[in-house]
Amino acid sequence: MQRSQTSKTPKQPLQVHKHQTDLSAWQKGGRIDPEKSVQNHQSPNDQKNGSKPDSLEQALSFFEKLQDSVSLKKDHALQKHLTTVESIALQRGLPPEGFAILLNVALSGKFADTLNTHLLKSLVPASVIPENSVVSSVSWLCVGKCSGNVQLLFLKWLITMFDFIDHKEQIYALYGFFFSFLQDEKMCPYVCHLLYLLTRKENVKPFRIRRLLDLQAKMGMQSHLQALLSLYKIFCPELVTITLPGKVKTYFKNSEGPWKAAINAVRQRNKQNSPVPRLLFLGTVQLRSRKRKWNTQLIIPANSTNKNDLEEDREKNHVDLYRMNESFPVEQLQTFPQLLQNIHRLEFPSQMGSVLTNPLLLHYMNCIKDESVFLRLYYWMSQVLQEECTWCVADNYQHEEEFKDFLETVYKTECFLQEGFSSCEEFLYRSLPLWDGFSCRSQFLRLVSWIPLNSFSEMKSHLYDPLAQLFFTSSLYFKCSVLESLKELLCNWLNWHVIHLNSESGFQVHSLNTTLSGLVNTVAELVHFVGWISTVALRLENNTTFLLYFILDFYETVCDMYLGYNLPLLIMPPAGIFYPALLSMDSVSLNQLCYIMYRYRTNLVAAKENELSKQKILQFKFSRQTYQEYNQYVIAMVGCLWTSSVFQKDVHPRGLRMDDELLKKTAVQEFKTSFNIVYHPALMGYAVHFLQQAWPDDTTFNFSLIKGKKWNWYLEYLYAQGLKGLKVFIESSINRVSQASHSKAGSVKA
Amino acid sequence: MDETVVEYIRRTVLKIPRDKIKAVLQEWDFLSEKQLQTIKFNQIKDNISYDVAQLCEENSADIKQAAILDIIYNYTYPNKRLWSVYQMRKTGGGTETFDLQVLKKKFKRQLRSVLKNVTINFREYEDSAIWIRIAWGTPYTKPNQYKTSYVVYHSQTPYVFISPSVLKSNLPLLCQALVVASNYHDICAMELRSHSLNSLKDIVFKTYSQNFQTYCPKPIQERNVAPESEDLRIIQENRSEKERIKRLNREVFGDGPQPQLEFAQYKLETMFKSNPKMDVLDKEPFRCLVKFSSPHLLESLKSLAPAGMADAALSPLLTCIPHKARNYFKIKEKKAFSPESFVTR
Amino acid sequence: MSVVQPFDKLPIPNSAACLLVGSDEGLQQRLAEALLLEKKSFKISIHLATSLPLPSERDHLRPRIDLIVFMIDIKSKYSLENVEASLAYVDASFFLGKVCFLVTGVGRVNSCSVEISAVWKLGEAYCSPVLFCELELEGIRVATAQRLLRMLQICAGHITGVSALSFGLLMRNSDDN
Repeated sequence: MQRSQTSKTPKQPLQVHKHQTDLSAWQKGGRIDPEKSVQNHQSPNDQKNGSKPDSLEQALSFFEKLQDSVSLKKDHALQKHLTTVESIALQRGLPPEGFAILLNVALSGKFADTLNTHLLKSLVPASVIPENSVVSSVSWLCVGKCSGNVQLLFLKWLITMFDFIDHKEQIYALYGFFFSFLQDEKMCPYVCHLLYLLTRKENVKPFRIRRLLDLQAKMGMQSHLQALLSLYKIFCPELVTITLPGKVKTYFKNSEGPWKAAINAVRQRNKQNSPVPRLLFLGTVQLRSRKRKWNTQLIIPANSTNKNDLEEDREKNHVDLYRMNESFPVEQLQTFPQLLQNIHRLEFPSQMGSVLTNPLLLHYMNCIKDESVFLRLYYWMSQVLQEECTWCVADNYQHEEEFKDFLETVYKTECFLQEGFSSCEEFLYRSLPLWDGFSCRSQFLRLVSWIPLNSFSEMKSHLYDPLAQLFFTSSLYFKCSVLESLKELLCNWLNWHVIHLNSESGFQVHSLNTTLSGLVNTVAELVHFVGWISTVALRLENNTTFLLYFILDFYETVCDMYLGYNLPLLIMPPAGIFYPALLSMDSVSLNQLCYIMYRYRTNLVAAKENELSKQKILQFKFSRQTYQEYNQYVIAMVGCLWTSSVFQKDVHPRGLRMDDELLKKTAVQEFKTSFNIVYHPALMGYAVHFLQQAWPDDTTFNFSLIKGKKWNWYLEYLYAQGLKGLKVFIESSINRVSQASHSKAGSVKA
Repeated sequence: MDETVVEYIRRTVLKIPRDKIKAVLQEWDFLSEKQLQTIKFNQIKDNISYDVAQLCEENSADIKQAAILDIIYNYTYPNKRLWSVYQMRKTGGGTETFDLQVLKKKFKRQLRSVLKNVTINFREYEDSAIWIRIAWGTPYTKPNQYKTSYVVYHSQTPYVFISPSVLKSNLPLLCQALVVASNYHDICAMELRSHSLNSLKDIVFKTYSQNFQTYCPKPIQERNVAPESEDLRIIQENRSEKERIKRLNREVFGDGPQPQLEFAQYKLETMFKSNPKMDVLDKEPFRCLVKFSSPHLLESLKSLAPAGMADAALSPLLTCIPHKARNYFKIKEKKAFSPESFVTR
Repeated sequence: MSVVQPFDKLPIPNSAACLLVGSDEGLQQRLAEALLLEKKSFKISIHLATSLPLPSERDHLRPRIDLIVFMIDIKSKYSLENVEASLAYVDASFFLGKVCFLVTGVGRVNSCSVEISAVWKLGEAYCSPVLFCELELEGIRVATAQRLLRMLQICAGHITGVSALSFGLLMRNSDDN
């Protein structure tokens, strides 16, 4: 190893040396000097730090000079310095210059393993870890003097601290060395993880792939090997020809165990003290608990948090840092112009979660279209979401709040990227069957709206079935929220379709191999599903207007799919929705229905024209049935609103047609006229107001006065009241021959 | 002046919760009231500990003082250690009057005769308990004050509560010294362990409430008795069954609170019995270890049946813990669990 | 031993009776209280039983049961076994929409000792819906009580046009088409 000597002589001389070069000096100081320490405590400005910095410097210089085999048990000085290092490291992390020294001791293999593990476990950075120290420790690793356990622990440490290393160019150069460690069966999983973090396109070589495949043949399908192979495959699909399982639950074992608490503590502490703008954290709540890995990982790894250190660092290395191929540290990325300037030399942090809260990185992610980035995000997110039932933990109320925040963040990211995450989808599929419909309700339902398009069989058993169960048993408000989010889902799918139509040139963000017919089927199934649950819901909730509003809102999108989104699909609402809306007591629903029917008409007419002109050979034609259904509905509507003939003409099997005999028995005198824009229960209120204004003296409410010219005035009055839907419907669907009431249903010919 | 003593005191202070430090120091009675007043008890513990250390240095504290502080700490927070119960036996019936001074002397002499480097300290408490703290060394090294053994001995009873040091090899020595010092002939582990010293005492002195006993140390609380709502719209269909369970449970566990144990362990050893034609080695028994653990094991067991998590009348293996006074069991063939008659470990 | 019958007694106007069967009485009691707290337009009586069969000496006091909720605690295998044993004492016609399985303990899946698939299978075998919840958490308990009340209302025939049988069919996972 060419760099191994650096470990012996760190580049920057330790500050320790300046103060105390003489061994006896610190030995004297090492004794407890009560006066001094008390003075230290009582000095008001230095209460917190006490005499610790001195003792750390002493400890470090002690370790630097540590010769061979000392026993931890016997050597009291060693014990003391070890405790100092440990306690300081766990409280506020170690300074950059400490790493080379301590790693050097821990990995040299000269000392007992207890000492080595103690040291490794206390290697928590206060700010950054110098690259040199890591490089030299890798050289120790190659020499193979330290025991297997220490090697393993070092690898785990390296994985955990990866983001804290100040630069990584030299470490990247060691790729081959790390790769050679794959042979070791015990180290293999961790080496894979490390390689996963290190791999760049130029590292993917045929011989490496062969080696990995050999290993896989020898050890069986191991998730860590698969992870690495799948990354290789993304970089060089032509070299990796084997098929890999698409979705693996966990790729790597969690290796951050021993350091997790300490890192969080240090991070917390540094956050308090650092002058770094809070912008970096972008409003995510910092959490104290060790267990909760979500929100904490949303923060860009903390080597940024101590700005001073970084700047110092930069001065020291400014020559290196401004080399062209040097990557720009993402944690310094704070403004949009910065993003534009450095876009060619940005690199994602290995902790992909932090991307979620950083709009600049999201912009970057959106424009680079790099599969591996999505894969890494996917890997991270599925790991975070993998614990079952994370939305509800019986003995931790706070947990739910934090999880909500996390889901909220994910949702916002999905909105930003205009794309659903498949890990999130899997989470929903896994969770919905067990969900109680209460915890994280709005978050769950919002995430539903970003489920990517899929083949129906999956959607049915994973999404629709559990959702239907919850839907039927839950409250009116829950029902409305479900409808709302399904509408969002439909819109998102349709938008996706439109975008992909427009950019047919073939950028494929999704590996989705949907054909147009597949898409049409999936959308149709969604619309049918909503139609079905809406019909049932109206029955269960006694045709509440509130619910009807949400249902009709959904159909406002459905009725416009052909013209609005260029999807050759139109589905009429089921009779269970149409008739309650038509006979609703509320003018809002009726108006909404009129508007929807008008849009259906416009779409169907356009489709017909297209079909007739045959400008384009259409792959899809609307079936006769759709036209028939539409016509039946329109006849019923015209009968109900205009011609007062709803009881005669409505031929729909679930329609209002009744025999005259039967109607006579109701003893309603003028049953024939009891349904039109005057008598319709939703509009009668308007009619009353109209009468009062037109004939202020008449108190008999003689509705039959509204006819002829007055009928037209009344219509104008209704339009003026805001019933625009009614207006467009009547103007489009009713052929008014003259001003007389002779009119004709404007049905579309099939 | 031994700096390790001061450091030891400092670390002991660090172990005490901050708001209790003052009370413990007062009980210790080593620092004067005036000295105590100079300490700011509202600063961080680290600093308090340095202040105390400095004062101790001024007073030239020795290891004896440090040990007393440690005993006070352990007496105040006995749950920090794991305690095992030992029973001592006599062969002859002779009753002797108990003399604390004799016991101390004999104990010290016995230990010192074997091992020179030990620190032994005593402290008596009102409840006739003698607390003994032993720090062990080796023939060539000084006693390690951080790895101490503790013995709590109640005179007039054959029971000793020992919290052994991590240096396990010293246990036989300790036991021997105890037997000699207290005029017994034999000592054996009762296989009863817990962090809660008081509960262990309750069990072996039978001072906790059991149905067959009249003595009840704490008043019976009206707990879990009437959560049933008076609402007539809720109808209990299995009322009689529930009452049966309650009765059974009461017979087994009594009314009062249970002593606190953290675990119960069952070792099962059974021989593999097979058709002799099948050539299976049956020399080695199958071993199986079942460990129940809970912050409060007996209370958990007690609430199993009423909570509907187990059938009423739990297995006697579980319910016998308090009156057998043991929570480590070995179950062998024919379910004979004979208590071992020698010190294990 | 008596088998619970769905139609052996006449219904009482404007009231509904629900039978909760489960071994964890604490949770059962809390759920019952949550059910009572909800606003409703009918009289309710809630019968709590640890297991079936119900003691026959109270048969004459009991109204017609409209809905049986079997409570399974995901943390206790015993609760599942208890429910499985109790199912034998339910008349077959109850399974036409008047039974549901309520699985609690979702908030402690780490200490799960009942396989969730076993519960799914139970639901399928008895043609009855399975609801999941965590009764220990108050919010979820209230939401679950609301859901059960809706089902009870339907099973008692208080919602026009929806029968227990048709609702039961809606709640079944329709994998057959």
